[in-house]
Amino acid sequence: MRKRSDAGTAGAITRRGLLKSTGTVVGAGIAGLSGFGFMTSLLGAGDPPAHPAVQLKPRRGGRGRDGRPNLIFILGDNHNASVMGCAGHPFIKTPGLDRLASEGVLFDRAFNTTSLCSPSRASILTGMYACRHGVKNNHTHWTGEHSTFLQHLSDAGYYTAFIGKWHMPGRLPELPFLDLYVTYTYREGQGSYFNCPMLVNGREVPSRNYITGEVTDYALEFMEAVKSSDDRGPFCIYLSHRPAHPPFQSPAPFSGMYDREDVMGLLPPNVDPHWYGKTNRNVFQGIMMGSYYDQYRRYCETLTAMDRDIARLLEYLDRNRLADNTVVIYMGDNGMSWGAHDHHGIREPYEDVIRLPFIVRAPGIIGDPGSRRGQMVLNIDIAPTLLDLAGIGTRDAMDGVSILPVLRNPRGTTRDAFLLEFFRYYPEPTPTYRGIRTGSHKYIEFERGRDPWLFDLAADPGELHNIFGHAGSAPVVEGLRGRMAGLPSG
Amino acid sequence: MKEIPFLRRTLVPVAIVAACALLSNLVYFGLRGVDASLINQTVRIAAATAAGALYFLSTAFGPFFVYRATQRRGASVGESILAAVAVPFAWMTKEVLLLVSSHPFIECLYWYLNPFNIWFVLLIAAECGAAALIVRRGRVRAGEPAGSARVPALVIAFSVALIVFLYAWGKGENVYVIFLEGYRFLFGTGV
Repeated sequence: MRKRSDAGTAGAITRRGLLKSTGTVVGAGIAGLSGFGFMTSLLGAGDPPAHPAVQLKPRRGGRGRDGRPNLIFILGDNHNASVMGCAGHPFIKTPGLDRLASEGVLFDRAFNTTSLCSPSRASILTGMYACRHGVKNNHTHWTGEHSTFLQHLSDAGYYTAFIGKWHMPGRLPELPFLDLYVTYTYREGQGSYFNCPMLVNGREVPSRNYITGEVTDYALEFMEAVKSSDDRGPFCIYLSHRPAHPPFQSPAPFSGMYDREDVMGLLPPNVDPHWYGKTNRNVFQGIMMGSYYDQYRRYCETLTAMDRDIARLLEYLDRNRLADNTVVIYMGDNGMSWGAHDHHGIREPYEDVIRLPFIVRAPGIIGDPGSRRGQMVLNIDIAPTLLDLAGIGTRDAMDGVSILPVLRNPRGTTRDAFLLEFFRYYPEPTPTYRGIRTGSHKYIEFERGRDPWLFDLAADPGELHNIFGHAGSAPVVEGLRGRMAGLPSG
Repeated sequence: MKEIPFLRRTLVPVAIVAACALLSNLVYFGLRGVDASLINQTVRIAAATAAGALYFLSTAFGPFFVYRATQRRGASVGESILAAVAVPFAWMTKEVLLLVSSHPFIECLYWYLNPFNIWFVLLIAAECGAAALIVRRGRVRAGEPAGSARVPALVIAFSVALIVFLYAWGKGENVYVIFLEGYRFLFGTGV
């Protein structure tokens, strides 16, 4: 990682110029931020962060500190649920996520409902299936027709911040209720790991930092501003990271840290480690990959780089005595396939693609920290859960449900089936599909080009045998179709 | 010099490259279908590596061989260019057809314009230029009419410069973004 002394300075000068022009006051208190010890020790530099102070808006309702929990939702990108130390991965180092899991709960059956970046992100923000919120693929625009959980929380008196990857097509929405709005539109909203131009409250600000460090700095600054406010919160942060979206890049000391790790025994035997020149089923991406084993190592390195900043954020909460009243949630927008079924990436409705890493730390709510939950939870559950945690109730328009009862009670229940949907996304060679995933089966109907899929997940967890059309499968299909009919469509 | 018939002067070099590409493709992808218990993983990787290398070399650098071979057999420049692009065009068409199972045909045709293909076309142009220079040198040594070296040299310089520029500009991602914007302009969101 570049030293802050040379990485952050150039950006700081520009920001200060910007702040002067807009009349914003640079908070002298920033220099006193106490949460940077981790980063400082890592970098060997003692410079304070050089970001502009956040200007908090008057809280709606104007209530004083009311005991409601602070909420931090951290989103990863294309993060395969098994690639975490706490999930049993053989070599990746994720002490931040491991700590989160040891102090909270790790969900083994968390899923997304649409395996594509923009639809999944819209589902997280709205609590709705893609067919209902309308962001069907990475080309369809976010219309702003549906409110996000951040809007609801702001209406309920929370300070709110959106920080990081927005990545939905169309112009960036104006979200005037936010107290801090940091994002980027660079490269179709994908951003870049280094030197990603940031938009801070609508104004472009150059970057000289690794992206996970930069967005985390903004989150710390936001919390610092809330801490300095008269009523001290509560607040909600949506912190959306770029890792681990390709092309995988990480700073020192992470870059190359897994060069000697054995990947051969970890990935499916059909993977070709040297060429991966195939474009079959992966079109563009397959050509560009080069060594597949090295790609996997780089993927792990970007996740470790992100994890280091998650750990830094947790440390900030500790130092500022916020940990006991702050719920921290980590989730990925999609899983990621690494060669299983001859497939790389997302989109296809296989388990390693739809399954998400999902960890919740909720002090005072979770009575059995360090445990695992097997209930079926979804990306569309995030919005209603956060609203429930804030004590403002869920919205009827949401398809998801609050998992607060499951956090409180290990034997709580959620659902036993959900809708899996995908809308064709050019140029990826996956047709539009709609299906259902229950506790025991997965059934998918494709719009064109493929016969339906039926997997008995209990007998065939690797999804190696499509039993659609096999003897005895007709009643199962009929039952699943009947259940699908009761799920949203559009 | 006795004129070689069209089939022999153009199709034979193309057929050699096409056969290499096809066979290596079959081996490369065929290895994926072999049950893991039936083949040692190290052997599988070694075979896939060899087949993958041949597949890549024959598809990506076959045009150099084809252009040079057809020129030496007396083909015209137009014939040599058409012969040189035959296998790459077949490969691009295979990629287009892969999309047919999920997208309307007219949208699949747009895939011919994807950035990788643009790079590929530039590479082919550079290869043909290099082959033309080599053929010319042979003709000069043999005392035969050789033509100017200026055109192939310019083609090489222009192609390589554009390849480097398009990659240097955002590591190629910016070109891909333009390609997607073109798609949305022509076809909307697709859903």
